Amino acid sequence: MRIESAAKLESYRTELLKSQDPDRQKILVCGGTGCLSNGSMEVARVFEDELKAQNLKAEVDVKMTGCHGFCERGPLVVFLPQGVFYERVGVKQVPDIVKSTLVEGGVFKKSLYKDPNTKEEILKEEDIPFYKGQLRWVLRNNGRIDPTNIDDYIAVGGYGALAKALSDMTPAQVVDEVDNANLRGRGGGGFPAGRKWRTVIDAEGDRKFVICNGDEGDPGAFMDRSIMEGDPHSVIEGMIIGAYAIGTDTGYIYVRMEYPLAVKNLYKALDDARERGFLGKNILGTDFSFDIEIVRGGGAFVCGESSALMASIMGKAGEPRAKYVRSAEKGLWDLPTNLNNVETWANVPLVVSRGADWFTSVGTDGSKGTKVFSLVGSVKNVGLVEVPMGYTLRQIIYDIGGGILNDREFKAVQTGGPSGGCIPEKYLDTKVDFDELTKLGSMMGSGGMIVMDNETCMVDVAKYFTNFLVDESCGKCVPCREGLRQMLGILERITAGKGKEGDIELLEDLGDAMTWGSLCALGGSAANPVLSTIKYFRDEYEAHIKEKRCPAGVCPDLIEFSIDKDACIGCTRCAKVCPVSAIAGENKKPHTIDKSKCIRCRACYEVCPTDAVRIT
Amino acid sequence: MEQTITVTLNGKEVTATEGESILDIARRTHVYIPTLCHNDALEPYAACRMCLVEIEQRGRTRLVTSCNYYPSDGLVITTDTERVVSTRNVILELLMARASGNREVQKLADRLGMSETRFKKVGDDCILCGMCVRACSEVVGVDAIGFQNRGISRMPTTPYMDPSETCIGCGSCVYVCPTGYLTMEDKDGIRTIKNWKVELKLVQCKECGEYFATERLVQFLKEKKGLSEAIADVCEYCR
Repeated sequence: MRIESAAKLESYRTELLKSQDPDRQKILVCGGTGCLSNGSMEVARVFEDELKAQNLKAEVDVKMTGCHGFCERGPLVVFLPQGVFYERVGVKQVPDIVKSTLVEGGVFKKSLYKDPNTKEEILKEEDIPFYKGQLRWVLRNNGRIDPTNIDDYIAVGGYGALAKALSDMTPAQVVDEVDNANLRGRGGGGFPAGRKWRTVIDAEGDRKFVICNGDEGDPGAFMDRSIMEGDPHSVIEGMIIGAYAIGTDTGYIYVRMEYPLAVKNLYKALDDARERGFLGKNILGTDFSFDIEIVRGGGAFVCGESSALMASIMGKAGEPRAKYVRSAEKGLWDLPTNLNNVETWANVPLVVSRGADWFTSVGTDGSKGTKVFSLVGSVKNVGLVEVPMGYTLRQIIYDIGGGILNDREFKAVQTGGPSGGCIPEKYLDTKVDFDELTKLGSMMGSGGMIVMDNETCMVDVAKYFTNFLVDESCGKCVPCREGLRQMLGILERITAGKGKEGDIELLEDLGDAMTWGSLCALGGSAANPVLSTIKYFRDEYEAHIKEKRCPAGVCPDLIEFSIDKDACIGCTRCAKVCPVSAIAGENKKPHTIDKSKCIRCRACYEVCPTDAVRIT
Repeated sequence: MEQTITVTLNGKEVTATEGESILDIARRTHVYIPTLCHNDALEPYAACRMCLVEIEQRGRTRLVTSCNYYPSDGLVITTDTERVVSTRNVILELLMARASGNREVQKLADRLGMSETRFKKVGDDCILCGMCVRACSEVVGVDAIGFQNRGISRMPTTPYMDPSETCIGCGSCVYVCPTGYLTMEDKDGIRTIKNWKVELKLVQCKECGEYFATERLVQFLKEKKGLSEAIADVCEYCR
């Protein structure tokens, strides 16, 4: 059914809300990629079966929602209106949960979240430390609505910003609002969206385009995926508003091929939006027409770079172009093109509906609003978090993340994806925003945040990211292509104990040349992992080179494993797990490692219950 | 009318036309800027990064490639700042490591006074300047070749590395290659370009009887470029 005007959208929403009983029992099962891979689809089905068996089917709705964010604890299930939050729900727990929560009106304690620090059971999502410190603006609907049901989105106010823009605002007023909100690009550059929109508006061209960059490729990052999967309409609504402001009838969403659920949910959302009249000809009964096409990326990391992405949309090889002209002026087919990333677009409806004053009430001087991060690595609470700009790294890692896993020591946090930098402990109180992270030699990037503990070797980390980038460099320009290969070679040498005097300086020279000389931002930031680890952990490089020692006990060529006789209880677990039978010893007697056979795989170290395996 | 602008190049004021690249301005005024992937017959490619220069705009300096940077009035350009030289030298060292035996790279190293590279030698012949691919596309208009793979596996080749069905054997790629990586041989009435796995029949000049072009090239000139038989069927000496 098409909705022909802003007023009709409002009455449609009122009808929807009327038909929904706010006190109706709902079971929200997370349908994000993390929970799905942990079997949440099956969990939802078993909930349905159990409800049938208990004769509760008519009174209870089971809903698959988008990602709740606390992926590590999945599958996640929330009962509304009670607000009870269950974690790691397997098929086995379903009958007990239904019985305790619905039949008996209590809670099933075993599936509640337990605070790892206080060991306390926590009943509601909003009281869990992971969620408590968050400010969920962009993720406002994630975990709340069914992303495949447009009416769910409309009921919570969706497309209201579009209606407001089309009926109450001129395109110029929309741009002013975005400009005044100082909405900066969430894809990494942090360029003010309003200013980019103006450039596109002022640029000459018979046609103009808007693009949504959904080619999120950073290892360990899933901010945009969760938004596209869990709340696709917020991105689409943002794009329609942007298209109206800029004056274009064509948009593209460029999504990674590796995000099948995002692609599926976006297709469904586009179809539904067309059916409701939010896309296509005469949107909401106005003269404005606009539609969106999905383009699926072929799996190249570099296609997240805007000019490579545009080349890919045009059917060319995904390589950045070497032109000193902005794509806002000459982008797709040399026509003015506005590209923003998923999270930026999802912010647009908020800015328009709530206004710039509201939006700028949160954040730092230079960075307003919130930012979504994927918090991963050696941190207790792994998942998707959204916080106000200006939160400190310490707040994110300790208050929300719950601190370092296994109560080890914090060593560094890598922000901004593979080309970001590693930030040491002394900067934990840095306020996280676009400018502060850049000052530290890292970057906001799209919001990846990898926490590392004291058992992490920083040279090894630099090698890992460099290795990723060697594969992902498009190979067009010399400093990035050849520089990364040589950089990796030097790092491999150093971690193998074959480092030479002068290697650090060579890495620095090489890193500077790549930074200054590369063609695109991938190459220009590719040296960041190496340069930032040298800057903050130079002593670790020196230990590898001069003393042939890996202080963190990670680099296999520089470490030895042995068993402390006094600590060993002879449980035989290490001997059983050793893949090369290098460990010998009788039951309940101290074991020994044959160093000539040992391949330093760490299996014994990980499995020992008394920490008797020593790395030197 | 062409707009005239004034830029400062290494401290000297120079007049230029709008749309003229820094490299063109420099060459016209006898200021040396090294290049490896530039060819006047082709669009700027900016991949070798040898032609980096430093520009100053609104108080900020940055490095840009001179081959595809078109200055506006008042731009301050310096071709030999410390940052330009150190960046360029490292990039050249990288190329010396990739293609140590390459004559163009060696020539440049000699000119810039670089004797050794600090990087591990790899021993590739092709420097990926892209001139072959670009000549085939931009000048000939055949697009028989392109790049395959990415990163260090990147290489110019035919689609799927199969023997090219579209190559007309004109040899432009070979003539333009600065490294000797591409080879072409005419023997017994057959032209062989090993890199594209093609063996094409040569035709004889209608006048002198010498083999002078491939059958496909003559056909291409007649059909696609509209050349008359009087021109297309005879060699350049007999035309």
